[in-house]
Amino acid sequence: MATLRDIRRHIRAIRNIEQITRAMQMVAAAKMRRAQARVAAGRPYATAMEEMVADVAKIGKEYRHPFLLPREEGPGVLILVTSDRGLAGSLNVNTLRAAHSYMLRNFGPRYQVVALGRKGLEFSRRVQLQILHHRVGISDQVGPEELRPSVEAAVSAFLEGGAREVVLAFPRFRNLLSQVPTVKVLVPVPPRGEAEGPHTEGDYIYEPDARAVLERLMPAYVESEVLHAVRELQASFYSAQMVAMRNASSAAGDVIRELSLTANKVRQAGITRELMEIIGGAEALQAARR
Amino acid sequence: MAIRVRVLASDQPLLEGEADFLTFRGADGDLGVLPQHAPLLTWLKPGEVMVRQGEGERYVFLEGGFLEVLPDLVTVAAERGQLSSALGREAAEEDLRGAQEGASRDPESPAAAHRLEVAQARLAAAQLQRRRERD
Repeated sequence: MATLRDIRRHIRAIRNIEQITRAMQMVAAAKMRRAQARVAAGRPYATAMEEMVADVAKIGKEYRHPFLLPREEGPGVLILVTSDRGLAGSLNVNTLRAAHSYMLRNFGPRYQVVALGRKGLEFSRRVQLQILHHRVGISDQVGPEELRPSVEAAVSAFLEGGAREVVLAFPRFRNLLSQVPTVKVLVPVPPRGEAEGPHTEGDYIYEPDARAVLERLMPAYVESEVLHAVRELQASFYSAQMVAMRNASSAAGDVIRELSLTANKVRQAGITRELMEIIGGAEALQAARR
Repeated sequence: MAIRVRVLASDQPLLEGEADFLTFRGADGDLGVLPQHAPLLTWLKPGEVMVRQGEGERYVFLEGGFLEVLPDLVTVAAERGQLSSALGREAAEEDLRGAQEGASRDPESPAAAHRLEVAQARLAAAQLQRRRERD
């Protein structure tokens, strides 16, 4: 059985851990609020770019950009958006599992990856994927410029490398308790239903001309999607980390309560044993005197 | 008859509402759009988008972006932009000086040239905005 000193030492250690997890919870909560605001403010832009490109896919006929043409052959490219650090529950594992199973199903085990975030990079190395480009240490105030080289790597894998699809995977932030692993095809632009999108006869008027506009618009669309995915990840990550740290803090509290109980029992048993010894000794002395 | 307009930057929505008329700097020059305009797709040069509704005119400065006209909706999306009323002339001048230095240091760089173009447009917009506020 553990001695009282061992138990007290154990309690102290867990109390230290609890202080750390509580501090991390507080930091994550503050960062989460800012990240949530950013994801909400950026969503209309990302949605608008998506709609614009889908409109072009539907009514633009003058020039069909390569992003609008389905391909039969070629490898798959995965843009994998994960966090650099862990302690966020199953957030990254869920994203990796959803993305990997989609890619395995459609492209087999040797697909290509653009890894944004350390967890996805480590995973890609472990299962020996072909890493086209990677980036860790993305800032919380991420802007379009910061992600441009990563987007270019994916876009050129499609335009020059003959890839069949560019796929984006990230955890979508729904609320504090729910982050949804999301896997979506960016390129070729997925077709929309007949009922959706603009109802109009005829094509756009393009300025300066169809090809020039689309050659700018299409990469900008991928950029906006990736930028938004990173913002979704950041809001998801801080939420998941906050919840994980809250759970860790309360688990630490439980363990401390239990250990304190054991410590008290051990202490009480010690006192009882000492009393018994004293009484036993006193009685023995009395018996000897008689 | 009005047309629905939304102007969005990548970090925040800038303007949303009905309009009778709007103008912007398209790829081939300044353009105006009235309701019932034919579908149009263009990129934008750095500069202001003006949205008029009734007597009111609102101005947004964009560093570029794209504009799509559909029969019932105009979408303007740009990586960066702000309401013209939030432009500061001193900040715009400062930015222009930095951009000029960058462009003279590296005259071949397309990024520096773009930054200079944006900075010039921003200062022009800030000056216009000041004039509007005076009137």
